[in-house]
Amino acid sequence: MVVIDALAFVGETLYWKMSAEELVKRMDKNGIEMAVATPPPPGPDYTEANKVVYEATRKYPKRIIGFYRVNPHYGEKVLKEAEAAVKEWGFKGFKLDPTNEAYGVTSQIVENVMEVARALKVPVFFHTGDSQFCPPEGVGDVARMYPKVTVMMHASAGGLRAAVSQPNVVLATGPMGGPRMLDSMYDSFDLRRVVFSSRMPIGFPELELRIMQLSLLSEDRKSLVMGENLKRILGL
Amino acid sequence: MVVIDAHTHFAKKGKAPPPNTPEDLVAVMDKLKIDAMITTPPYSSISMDRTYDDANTFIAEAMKKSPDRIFGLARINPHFREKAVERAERFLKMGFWGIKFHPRNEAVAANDKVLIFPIIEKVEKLGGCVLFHTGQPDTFGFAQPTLCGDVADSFPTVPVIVGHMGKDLFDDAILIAKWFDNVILETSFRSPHDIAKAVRTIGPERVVYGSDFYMGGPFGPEIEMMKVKLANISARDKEMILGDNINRIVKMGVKSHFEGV
Repeated sequence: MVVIDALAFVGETLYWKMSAEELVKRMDKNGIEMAVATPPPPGPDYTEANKVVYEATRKYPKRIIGFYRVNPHYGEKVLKEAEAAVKEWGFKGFKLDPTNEAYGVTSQIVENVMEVARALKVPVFFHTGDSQFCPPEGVGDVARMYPKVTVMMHASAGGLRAAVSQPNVVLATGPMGGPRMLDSMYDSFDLRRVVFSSRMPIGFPELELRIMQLSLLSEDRKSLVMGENLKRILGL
Repeated sequence: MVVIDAHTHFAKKGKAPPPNTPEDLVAVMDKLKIDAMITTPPYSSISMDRTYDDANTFIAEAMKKSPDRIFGLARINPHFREKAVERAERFLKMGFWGIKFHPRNEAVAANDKVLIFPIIEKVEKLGGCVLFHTGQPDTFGFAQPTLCGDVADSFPTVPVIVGHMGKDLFDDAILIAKWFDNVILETSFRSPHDIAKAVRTIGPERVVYGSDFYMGGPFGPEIEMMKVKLANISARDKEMILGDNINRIVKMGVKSHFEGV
């Protein structure tokens, strides 16, 4: 079964760092073939941090997939960078964190990023859930406004509600939802829109993989979640 | 090594998902090499009269059958006021190891002086611990950890177990544990990083493993145990959290049932 991790971090924060080498080491240890990597906070300008991810994708082109972290407060500057990141540097999507960068998920500056994502046909992964800036329902509203853009976020009750009504929403597993949540949730949901994620090093791949193992999903369905879906979504 | 799950739920068939017999609960423990569980009725076991009398009695019977494995906390609905205090006294005298409060489901603030404190006075007198469900986002106004801090401050000899370590309010839970020596942090639903942070801040002695089984599904005890094992703390800290601490704090006297664990 191919395992592709939909979200990991490469770079340095005030409290920890994760190099490309360390990420690949942890992927090897856990049997993860490929991982989406994006810079961690704090920002606010991610130009240099995105370069670190770019270098990681250059060093491990078959293992690490870059998602360009966009702080939409930087306006035209960051939009041009994001466009170049996809067209010239091989990034496969955008990552937005409205909580960390302090903007409402339904604000105009997000729409500007979504316009670029629509033009480039790349997905946008939203951090959600821990502030008034980015409730999952708000991410669902963005998905409704941009039905041709794949909108990714972590699974939650609110995220599931948004995903049920919006076919362009993709849910990532974790952080650390138990197998029961996984099974009950996916009974009523299109599993082709669920992708495995570990959020390492904030999250623990060992834990998320064990939860997937314990899930009652059939092996075929697990295979979709573990990697096949993301492969299809990103055109890998 | 002793492994004790400090926060689980258990009720008879029709009132909760399996396991519904003491034998089946012990079988779950055996499978995971858990020596004992502290257990309490779930909300689903409340009776038509809005008490947990039947559910508590069911657990009392289970404790009689497996006194070395099943340790009950009586669940009390504090809105019955004097009768709730009487119930608490009766169940504590029957051998329960403390009282469980679920401030959200019972719609009462954890530090309510009229409804909660008289019950804890019985615990103070008769011995045992109190366990509170806590946590944002689902319990604001009733069960944020700071309210448990008020309880701990008011009853310094009673161990106050902060269930789920406050969930998203885990930093608040860790702070009240720093301020009050009788606050115990229970780990369910928190990450290995949060468990390590608790240990770094207050030391390992008052952090205890819990799963909220069966609420987290049949695999909850294993997943929550794995979080403790993945935390960046010492092997001895992990042993303390997985069983030694709660065994000492509640004076359970649990012995290891499994060789090589």
